[in-house]
Amino acid sequence: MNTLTPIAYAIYLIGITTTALVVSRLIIRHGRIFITQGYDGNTALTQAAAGMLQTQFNLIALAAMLLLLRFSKPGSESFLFPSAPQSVPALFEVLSVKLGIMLLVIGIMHFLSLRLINRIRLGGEIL
Amino acid sequence: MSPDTYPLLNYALYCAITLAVTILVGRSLHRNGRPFLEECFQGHEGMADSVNHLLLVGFYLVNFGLLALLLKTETPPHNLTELIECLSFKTGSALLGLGAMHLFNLWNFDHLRTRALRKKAWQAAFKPEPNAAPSTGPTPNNPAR
Repeated sequence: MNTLTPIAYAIYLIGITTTALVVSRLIIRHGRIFITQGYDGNTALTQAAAGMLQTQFNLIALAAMLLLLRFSKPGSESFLFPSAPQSVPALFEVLSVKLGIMLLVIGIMHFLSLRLINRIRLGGEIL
Repeated sequence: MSPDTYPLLNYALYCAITLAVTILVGRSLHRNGRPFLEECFQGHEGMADSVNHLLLVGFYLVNFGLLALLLKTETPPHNLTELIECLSFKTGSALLGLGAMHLFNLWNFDHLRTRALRKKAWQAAFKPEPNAAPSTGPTPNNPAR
């Protein structure tokens, strides 16, 4: 059995989970001041909205991570799903693609969250 | 190792992970939705609590139904790699469904709150307090002609 594949999966899962959790915490910590402004200084509402935003961010990021995890069978490689690594250099190549895709996804979600927080700051119906 | 080990492990881990995440998300929604509902019902704690509870039960029902439907795998895993792939695909689909339900609840809370704010503004504009200065704008009892 190829032992490099489970190693690649473990590195990918741990790395992306950590990044997603850290980024969502960062957004909430630095966005709270804007959310407070949108809710006219109501701390209970600010806390609640921040918590729900963080949960939503984590859910979507982790779902994308799990859905984009797999390697393709030999013969049906694509950019999103490269074939499983057979050597250590191939492990690095494959992991860089996998991690890069997920970091791009998390980066895009980061900017979408910034827009959402700005909408909260401006007030009115948000979603 | 019996041939059923990996498929069984697959189902057991799927149930454990998705049930745990559903309950965590449901509790988070229950806790964080409370201030929004309180504002919506303008301080009627009993109503806010009961609506919150009903929303939570609905959330659990829909999600547990979704998780049960997603359980079956067409190609059972035979080794660790296939187990990780199979499990991650199923769990990812379940989390996506969970995210959609969470978003629906967020929209609900936001909608309820803005509607309550609009109602409050309407009441302030058209139904002044008895001892407040008389409004010059149109009122339901005295419409502008």
